[in-house]
Amino acid sequence: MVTVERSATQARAGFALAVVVFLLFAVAMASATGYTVVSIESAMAIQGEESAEAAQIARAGLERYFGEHLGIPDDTTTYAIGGGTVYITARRMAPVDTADGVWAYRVRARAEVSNLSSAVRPATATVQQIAWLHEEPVARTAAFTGSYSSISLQGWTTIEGDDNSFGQCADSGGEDIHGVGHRGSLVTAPHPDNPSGPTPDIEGGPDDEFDFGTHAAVVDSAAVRWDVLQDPSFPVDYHNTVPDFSSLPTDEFPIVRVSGNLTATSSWSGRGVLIIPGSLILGSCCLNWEGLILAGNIRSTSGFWGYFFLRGMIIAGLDGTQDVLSINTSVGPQVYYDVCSALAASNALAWWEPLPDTFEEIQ
Amino acid sequence: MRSHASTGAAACRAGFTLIEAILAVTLGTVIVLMASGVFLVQSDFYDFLVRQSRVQDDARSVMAFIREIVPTIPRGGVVVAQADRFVVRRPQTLAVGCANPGGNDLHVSLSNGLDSVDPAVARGVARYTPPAGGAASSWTFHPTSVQSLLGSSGAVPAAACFAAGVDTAGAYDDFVEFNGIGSIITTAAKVSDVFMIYEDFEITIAPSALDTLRHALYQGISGAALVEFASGLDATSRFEYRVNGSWSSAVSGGGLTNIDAIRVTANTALSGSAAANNEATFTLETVIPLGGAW
Repeated sequence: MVTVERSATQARAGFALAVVVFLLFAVAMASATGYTVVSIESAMAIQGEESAEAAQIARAGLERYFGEHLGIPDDTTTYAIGGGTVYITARRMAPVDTADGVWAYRVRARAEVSNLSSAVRPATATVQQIAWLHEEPVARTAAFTGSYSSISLQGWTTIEGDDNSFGQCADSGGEDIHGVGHRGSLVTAPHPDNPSGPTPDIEGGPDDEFDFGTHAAVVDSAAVRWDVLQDPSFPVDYHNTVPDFSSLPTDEFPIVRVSGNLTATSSWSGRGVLIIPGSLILGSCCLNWEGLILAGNIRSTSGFWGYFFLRGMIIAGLDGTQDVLSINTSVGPQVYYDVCSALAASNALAWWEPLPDTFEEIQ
Repeated sequence: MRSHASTGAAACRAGFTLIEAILAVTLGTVIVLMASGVFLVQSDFYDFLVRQSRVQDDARSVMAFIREIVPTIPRGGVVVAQADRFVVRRPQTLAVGCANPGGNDLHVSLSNGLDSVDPAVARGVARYTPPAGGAASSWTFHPTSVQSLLGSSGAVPAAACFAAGVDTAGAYDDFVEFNGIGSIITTAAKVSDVFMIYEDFEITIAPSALDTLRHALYQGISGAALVEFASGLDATSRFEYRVNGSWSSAVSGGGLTNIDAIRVTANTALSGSAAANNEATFTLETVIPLGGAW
């Protein structure tokens, strides 16, 4: 009896089990197939998005590099943009204007975006463009250039356009430059408090002074993007502070910018490019700088101090708002042209001019 | 006793009546029909999603491909501009003159190396005029045999360019001599001149060979057999061209040199096996400036 009853039960259970197993199998197969299709589509979509993102990031990196990079290019410049990383390299392709230090470069940006589907193979994109690098943007015309129709200097003042680099670099011993550049006239005299005292010593070659004629000509000679450089949002090496020069390599000439005016005190001494969007205010002691000083203006009172010491060049009056410069002090500026310092500082301001219509997307 | 018990068990199993059987079958049928309905709806929906994914993928493939091509095309580089096809002069490589060996020849540095140049399909060389005095930059194209243009490469031109201050480290294959470039561009070629070795590249929307119901994007060297790149396009897919701020579906003559952007409209569609209203469609439209002026 027991045997018969178990046999009947087994018959029913076997039918139900088969149906359930079949249904489960069908559902599992359908699910697996669906998941495979969807996951492949998803992976393809993600890869497509990552590739597109890499291309956009590469372009953005190239544009950023052209826009904000100053100086001679490093081996590789790296930016983190969005979800990726851009590696910028530049290769010098040809001379364009050796007199002004302009060279043609191929600038290449390679972007990598982390790949969700493959950690070891990030999505990449590479773009490149031909660009001119203005390696020596600041024309070496005069040791002291002021965009003023009249410059008056008094007392113990020395401005030498003769090269004072004394063989410190390969360019030493080259041509001398003018002493003072202006756009009108230069008047020198002893200080009224000491009529028998020294008269400003202005020297240079081929002439002691040079007349630019117009403010535009002065700005062109600087050949820097003055409107960009003085913009507080434009990144420079040091803003409103001077670096600890003892920790920098001796051949590094950083760009230092202040906000507004700068009083010429010793606390701002150093080397590199000193950018003063406002005025360089004379009347204190003793700013000592090596390289370039670019100033919107110079302000001086008729006191004792009108001093600052510079080995390199200064270009002032770039804002074009002042017509007359008078440094009628007992002790005035001491400016000595030094081709090595001027050139190194000018190199620090090297800027890119990408050539339109030479963009390439490779890979 | 054993016999009685067995008979009792049989009677118990015989308790499935016709009514019970009919009820069971009916309920089972209803459940199966409901499950089948759900399954079919889900299947249709899934099928629609797959097709929707396909049409989006088709459109994106078209866009991704054209987005790679068009930004590298310089202004003045469009030679055919129609609603369903365009032919552009695509750079194989750019080159910059880096040393002058004399005569009409010029040593150049290639932006992509000599491997990027295929003389068999290259159509000529173009010379670049940088922007100056408010005038925009431009390219002047000179159809010529690139095979004849390419002279010695490697050490000789690299050494000459190195002497001029050019970076040649690890890039000897990037240097080549352009033979007779001065006579090709009909003016003296000089150091710092920028050149382009170009090919004529065509993109066409035409009926698909793979899917007779659809159109496809074909691409390749103009004049040679084009390759079907992406199918699934609708016949309404098209190209438009911006000239002086206005869009046109076809540009010819002098207007070609003023094209500064191409608008691509990719309409894709894919029908299911069911009703036509179940058709998956997708439209992707984008404007791509020429010359990398993104």
